[in-house]
Amino acid sequence: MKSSLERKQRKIGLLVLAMSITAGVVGGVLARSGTALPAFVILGGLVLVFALAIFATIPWWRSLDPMQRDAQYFGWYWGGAAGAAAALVGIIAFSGTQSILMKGALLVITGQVAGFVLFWIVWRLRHHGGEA
Amino acid sequence: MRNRLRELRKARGLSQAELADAVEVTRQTINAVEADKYDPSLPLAYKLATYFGVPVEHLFINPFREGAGGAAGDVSSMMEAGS
Repeated sequence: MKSSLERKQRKIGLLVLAMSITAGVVGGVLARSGTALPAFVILGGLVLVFALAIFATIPWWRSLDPMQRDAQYFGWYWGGAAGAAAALVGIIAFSGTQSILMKGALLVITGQVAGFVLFWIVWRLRHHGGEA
Repeated sequence: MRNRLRELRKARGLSQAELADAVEVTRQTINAVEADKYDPSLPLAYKLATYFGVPVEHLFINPFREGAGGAAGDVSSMMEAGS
């Protein structure tokens, strides 16, 4: 038997999934529009679509209980790091260090590290206890 | 963290899902806490203790206190202490 929180999370999860898929489709259409649209419209549209997709997950994140959040932290920290390392090894092994695939992977990892540092600083500032 | 959650819940005749509803968590979280597979956050520990009307240390056995491991008494005395 599921608790009422789990039923609520299921509804929110389905909604977030639908919004993420929509964002992915819209983003894909924009990215493949080529020269049909000005570059700033494509770039601005992509930023907007992905920002909305991330904001759409806020209700889902807030609905998680402490154990579910801990599972997310654990999974993303250890699983995310291990998965990224394995992917990098695979890319280097099969396409070398100078390939376009490697450059793309490094760009994604750079973005993740920058995001991590920014959010880590925000978290530390928000949890600073002030003068001793 | 060892605890008496299952004991207290059963004494109240509640299912895990009913207790989960009462403290606004998932059934899996209640199950994990009862099985000593997950240490609850401080707010959740207080919420559970408040729900059962017992002090936190009656519900969750303090592993750092000397003689920890059952000195807090049985369920009925705990329920009386909380009422």
